[in-house]
Amino acid sequence: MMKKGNIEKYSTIDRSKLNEEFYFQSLIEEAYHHNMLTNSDIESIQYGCLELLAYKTEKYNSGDSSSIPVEVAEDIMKSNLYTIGIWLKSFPYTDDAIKELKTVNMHDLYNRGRKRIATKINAAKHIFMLTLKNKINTDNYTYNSTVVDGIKGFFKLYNPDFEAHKIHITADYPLCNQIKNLVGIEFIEKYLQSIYYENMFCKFFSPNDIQYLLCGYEEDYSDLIFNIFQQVLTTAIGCELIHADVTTLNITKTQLELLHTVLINKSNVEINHLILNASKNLYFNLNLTNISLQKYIESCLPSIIHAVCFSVKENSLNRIFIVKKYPEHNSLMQFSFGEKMDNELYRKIIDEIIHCRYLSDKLSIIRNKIHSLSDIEDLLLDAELNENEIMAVLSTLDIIEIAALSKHHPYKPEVEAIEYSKSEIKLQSCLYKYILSQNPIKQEEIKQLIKQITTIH
Amino acid sequence: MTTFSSSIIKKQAINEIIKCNDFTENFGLILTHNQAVELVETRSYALKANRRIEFGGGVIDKIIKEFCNSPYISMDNYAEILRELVEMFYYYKNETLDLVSDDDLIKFMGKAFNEVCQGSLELLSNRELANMAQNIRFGYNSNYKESEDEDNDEKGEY
Repeated sequence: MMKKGNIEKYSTIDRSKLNEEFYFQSLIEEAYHHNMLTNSDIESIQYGCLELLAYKTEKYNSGDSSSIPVEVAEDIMKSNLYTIGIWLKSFPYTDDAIKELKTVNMHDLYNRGRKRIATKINAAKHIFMLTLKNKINTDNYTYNSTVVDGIKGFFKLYNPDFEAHKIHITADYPLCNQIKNLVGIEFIEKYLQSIYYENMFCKFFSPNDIQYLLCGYEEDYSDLIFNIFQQVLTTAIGCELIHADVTTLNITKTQLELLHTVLINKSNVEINHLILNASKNLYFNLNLTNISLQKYIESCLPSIIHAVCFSVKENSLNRIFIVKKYPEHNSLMQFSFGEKMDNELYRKIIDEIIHCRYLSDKLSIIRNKIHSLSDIEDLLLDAELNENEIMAVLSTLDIIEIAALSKHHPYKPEVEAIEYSKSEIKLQSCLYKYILSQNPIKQEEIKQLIKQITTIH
Repeated sequence: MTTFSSSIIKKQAINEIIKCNDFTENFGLILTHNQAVELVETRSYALKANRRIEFGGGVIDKIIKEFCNSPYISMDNYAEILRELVEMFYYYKNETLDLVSDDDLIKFMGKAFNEVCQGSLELLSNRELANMAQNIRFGYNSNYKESEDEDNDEKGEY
């Protein structure tokens, strides 16, 4: 095929048809199908793989054992084939990869793949450093736990010699474009690259604007598992569609109606065209010149276009284009927990309470010696009180104090084991039970107060 | 792609067993080709039954060399005992969670067979190896006996 005066090499096997996860296996299958490998070639490849497995098994057992459980052998075999696949992937033309397969023994192919994995690990570590530097400043739990702790865990657990195809972590934070058909270090490399570009884009906006936008999406967004970049990009495109200021990510309710009139009665092709144009304007208005980031954004646009087309049909644009929400505007009153007492004195009181036999004595000490909610809160966590005793202490508090404590210790049974200490879990549960034990009117009052107050420590 | 023909491995294993005859004939023990084939088949069966995989001659030659000087083995029971030992070996490889090396397990089997078990395969499997595997799984020394603990308790030592 002639192209700009150059001759492009022809490959018998279409590279795009090969399975990225099981590259080596799919390459052999296709090569066999196209008569590029004979039966004896396949047999010799199989024998080579077997020899390699035997060698790796010996390494795995450090020479102590000649046999191995089948599950472990399967993992080692998958790891070997994955590693060889990584090397064969480095050939842009599949014919060259087949030639390599025919002429080089499995041990050498494996070693070459292993070197390539080592390079990929270093590259992934470098990208990880970059993602830590341009990390989004957000309260979202899944983002923080995956992007920082999860990836650190990967580098600790990754075993390229025997489990090169495994990542050992779940990478819970979803990307705008989900990664398909990649495993092992290839997955992590791609995942980190995507996170890096998503972070880079979000850095064009202030963390506060992103926070308010996400609050508009869901006030408790910190506990949700969703992609932040997708919300930010969609809103930015929404701003461009109505020529609003994109830098603040602000679409008001009136502008949302305007957006509706812009998109209503438009065909999918027209919406596609509008959004592609809006993305070009977005690059210009944000002075976004990084070509790689532009390419990443373009790869994400189809899913956004699809969602917009669907929401236009369903008349639910407000679910796609989010109106910011300012949670502090909900706060009508501030509540102070008060000053903490001297540490020495506090320790003495806690000791005294722990050694008290009767609840009435404990309550009496609390009533006479504890004068701020800060100290009550500490005491409820430190004084080794049982559930009945905590309930008794709570019953001595005002409704606003209960609301303030509940705001600080919301009942979250789904995350308790990981996030909170035993005493915190106990306090959360007691507060929850205490509120439930009140009459419905009082319960509603407490719930309203929890929403309305901001606490000061 | 992960399933391969095992014929090559079997041939290699039979040859390695036959080679052992050069060493064992000093003790009056020899395996015929058929017996070697049966032994390899027993190994294949034991590996399959215990969901394990092995390369080359594996441990059969090691078992032969450890047991060929046993006073409890003669030409009459040689092949049969080897088959039982091979099955026992792979079973206890799993039972010891792969924490004991091949050499240590075979040495333990040989010593117990010749000494406390006095040539009884039943005692070797159901008492000595079972106790040893339990000790390994519970994190004790392989020779640990429960009575030791009771003695210590009585003396007030831990």
